[in-house]
Amino acid sequence: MLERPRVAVERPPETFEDFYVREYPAVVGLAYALSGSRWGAEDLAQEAFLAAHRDWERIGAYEQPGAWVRRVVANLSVSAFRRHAAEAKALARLAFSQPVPLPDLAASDPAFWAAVRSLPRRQAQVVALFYMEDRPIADVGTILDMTPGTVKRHLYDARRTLARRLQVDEEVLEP
Amino acid sequence: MTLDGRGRRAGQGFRHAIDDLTATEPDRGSFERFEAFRHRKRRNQRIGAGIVAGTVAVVAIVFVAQAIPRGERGAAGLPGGGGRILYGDWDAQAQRADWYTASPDGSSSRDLGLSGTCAIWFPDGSRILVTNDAAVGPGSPLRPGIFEPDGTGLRPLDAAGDPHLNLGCGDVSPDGRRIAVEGFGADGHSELDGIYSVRASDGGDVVRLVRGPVSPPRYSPDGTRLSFFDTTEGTSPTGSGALFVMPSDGSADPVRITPWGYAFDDHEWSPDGSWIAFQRPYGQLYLVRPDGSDLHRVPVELPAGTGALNPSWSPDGAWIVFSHQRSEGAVISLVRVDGTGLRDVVNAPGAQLQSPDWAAQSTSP
Repeated sequence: MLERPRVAVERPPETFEDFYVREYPAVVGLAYALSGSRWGAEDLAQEAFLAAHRDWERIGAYEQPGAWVRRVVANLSVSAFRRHAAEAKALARLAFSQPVPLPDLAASDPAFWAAVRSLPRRQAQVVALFYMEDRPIADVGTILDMTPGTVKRHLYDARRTLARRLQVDEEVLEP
Repeated sequence: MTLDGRGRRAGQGFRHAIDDLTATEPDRGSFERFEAFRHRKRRNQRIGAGIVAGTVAVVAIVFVAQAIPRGERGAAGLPGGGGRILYGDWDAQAQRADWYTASPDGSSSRDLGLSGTCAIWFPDGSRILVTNDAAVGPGSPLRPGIFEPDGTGLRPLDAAGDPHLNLGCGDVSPDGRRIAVEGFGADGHSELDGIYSVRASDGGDVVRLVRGPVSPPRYSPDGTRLSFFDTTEGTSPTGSGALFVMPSDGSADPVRITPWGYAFDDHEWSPDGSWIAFQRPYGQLYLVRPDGSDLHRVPVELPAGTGALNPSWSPDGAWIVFSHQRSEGAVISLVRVDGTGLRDVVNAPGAQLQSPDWAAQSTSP
């Protein structure tokens, strides 16, 4: 359930298509980072954009509609159950068509992202947004509807777990 | 390198890859795919269950009456030895399917009022095993459930205690006592992934048979063996893997029976246990002996641009029913094991019909 919509602001309304074209690559990338499914990621992203499209008059007026759609896709992508279903369906479509060529996103340290996906879901979401999108703590909190302190706590816990699993030095960053 | 440094570098690599994606994939093209996605969903929503059932029944009765010579019909004048075919209509928004049954000639289609990712008959056709998706929530992982053949009388199989373990799609042992299911961890507990066996009466007595693979296992008709699909990093084509067979009590390691890259997801044993039908990516029906011998394609010529998915055997072992994937949707089709007699059984414009399962014995519609 999505709660606490952002404050509406006075500005010319953006068309949904412009919003989609601008945000799609990053949103499908976030879905891929969190789901690990190259093929299911597009379905997850499309579902998130479809949710925004249904209520675009309201969501398009938010200060950060991109944050809203990221929150949706982040929640969809970390659900093991939905991820499993989306991937199965996406792969099923390959039964009668050749796969669309996509850049190999897994080339960017797949072990790191695999470890991220093994984290508890809130930690995985925080880490993906913090590192993949290079967003400040406050932005991550806005997207995930968390206080900055909660984001820091999740990030701290996640880093400790990741450092242990990846056997790399843990730079101690206080929560 | 510190964890923070590695994370920032991984993130930077990811952003570069996304930039590449943007460069190689024109934005307008992406939006066109979104529009296609949206229209497909709207079209599916317009297709009510009643319309589906009515259309299917009328069209299929006429079609089958014309298409099937009398000499090919089995029990009750139906192909394949009678019984009923269970099938799902995939709902992309809910990420699960609505389930129906129909006669093997496509007539008397019935909306069971069930919604779930997977559904499969008990071997005697007396009940239906489903994933109890509706009960999933915080602290409530996915569990199986059992329904009567008419879709009533849900009995959740929720005696498994581990709140981090999801128990998904699977199969019922021939004696009806055990259920083999795919298991996968919630909240990052991927160490729980594997094939599990649970008691069919309540879902308790959870036994992990294999660590790792997450795919619906299938019992051999005598109940002594299980088969499952697994994949591994780098297998080509994308999403493909191999089929494995193992003792159903987990007493020995699984044996791979197809080459890597030859199998895809769903498969099923023939009623006499001598064959396993599966899909070779992408969209070709294949058969293999349970020991891996006699691997060959079912010689059916599907129309260009279409493919077969989710094969299941008729009770008499003469036919294979499958989800026939087409550009405009997916229908349920039949073909004889020798590749002849291809025909649609259930069709509805725009629907994504999938995962047919043919009951071994006739059940009341």
